[in-house]
Amino acid sequence: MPAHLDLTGTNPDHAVEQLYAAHWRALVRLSVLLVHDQAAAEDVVQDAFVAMHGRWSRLRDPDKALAYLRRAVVNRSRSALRHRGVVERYVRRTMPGEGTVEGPSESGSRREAVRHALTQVSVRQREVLVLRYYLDWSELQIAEALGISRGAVKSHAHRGSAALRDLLGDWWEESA
Amino acid sequence: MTEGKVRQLLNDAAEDIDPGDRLASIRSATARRGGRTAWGWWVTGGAGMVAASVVTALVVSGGVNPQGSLTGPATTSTTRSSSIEGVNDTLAAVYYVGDTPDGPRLYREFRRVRADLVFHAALDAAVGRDIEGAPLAPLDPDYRVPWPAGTTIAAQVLPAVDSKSGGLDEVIEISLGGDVDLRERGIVSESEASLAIEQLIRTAQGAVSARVPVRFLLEGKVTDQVLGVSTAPTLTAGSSLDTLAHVSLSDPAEGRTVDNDNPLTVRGVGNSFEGNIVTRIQGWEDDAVFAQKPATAGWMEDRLFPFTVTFDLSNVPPGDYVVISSTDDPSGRGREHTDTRRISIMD
Repeated sequence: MPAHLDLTGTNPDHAVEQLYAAHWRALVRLSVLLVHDQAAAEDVVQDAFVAMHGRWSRLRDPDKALAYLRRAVVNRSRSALRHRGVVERYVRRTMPGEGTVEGPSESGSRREAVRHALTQVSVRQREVLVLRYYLDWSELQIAEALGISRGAVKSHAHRGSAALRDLLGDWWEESA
Repeated sequence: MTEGKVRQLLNDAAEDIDPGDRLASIRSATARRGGRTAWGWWVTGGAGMVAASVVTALVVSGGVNPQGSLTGPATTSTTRSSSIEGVNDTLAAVYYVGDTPDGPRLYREFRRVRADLVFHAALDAAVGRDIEGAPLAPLDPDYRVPWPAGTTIAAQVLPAVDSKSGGLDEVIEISLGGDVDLRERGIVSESEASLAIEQLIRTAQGAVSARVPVRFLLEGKVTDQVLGVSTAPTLTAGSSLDTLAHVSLSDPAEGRTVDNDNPLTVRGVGNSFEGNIVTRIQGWEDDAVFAQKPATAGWMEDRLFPFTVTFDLSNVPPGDYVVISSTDDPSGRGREHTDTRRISIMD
């Protein structure tokens, strides 16, 4: 992403285009980790950009806009999960044994296994894991974003990590 | 070790996701909708969404307001569409501590907040923060936040089973945290500790417009006490006359500028001997009284009653003034409760 995205005085259409170029890919990836369904994730991020466009007069600053987009994507991903049952649909499609996992040496399979494992932990654990370890948010930031205590963030991160380890088995052990 | 592994696995798992191009769809959506999205406006925090939807349900089902009514601010100004963002603002009632001749009491102040975040914004304001976590003081300099700086608050409305009827009910869960361990007494003075608890209960109940019981948590764990005040299992608002200042102004807001071509309507709630509340407009510097009018609120019940009084300002010269509403003390011992608002009058 460009280090100094100068959007001072930019109109909202231009701001959306610049921010899209810089952050679209990363935001969709973030949402995929949360909802596991790429089409749903793209919908979520698209909606976040449209909402950001409407608020541009207040944001005006690329850092604030990115912070807004990330929060919007996290919130909307949860909403997508609740309203669309994305994970449930996914889980039904790929019951254990139906996957295409071939062996721990194949990185594509490991990635898929990790994304699948994220669907197996609780919503809170998944959110905390993704915000803490993928977005590198602080415990305090996560606590405020999710409306839970820092203690709860810590415990979700701990239990979520332990659950991932169990779910991933060999993948966990053999990832470099 | 584990953290590093999770970080590495997640980053790796995201790496081969190759998003499709949606720029054209976004452009056409922003051109068509002008900022509004199909899913409504953004809500801060996951819990915010849950709470917001429950709050709507409560309002629809017609809950009882803890203080009778949220009358006060002109209804015409309670919602306003900010044309730029299209996000609706609304007024949230936040309780703060202020002084009276009977010691510290709670005053109610209306804050303008995003309509979709009333519940969270009101509780954040009650502990002295805005929804982004930045410090936020009461508008009225006579009021104060009783909670230690750095106190954090998270809250949600949860379904609960009524222990008596067995029916479904709600409970407000307020989780406090931050830099200070808030469990023991002595963090704030004893009289302010119970007010601090009442303050959050009344602010939360006001935001959901219902006397929903409140459960207190510290750092996410249910607690039997906060600031040394027993909180288990749940609490609801206590006696209004023992907790609240007996007069609280809703309108005008602190610091408001008013045009002396228009009449000034003062609104508030009060409980006073024979219902009498007297409101004066005084010079800010010299205390000269420019106008004084009585109004009738109510008395004899354990609640505050709304009152309204309107002033013609056409003969009041421009400048800074203070609006003072006062209860009546027939004993003549100067035990009146008052609430004040500084205003600027212009031509």
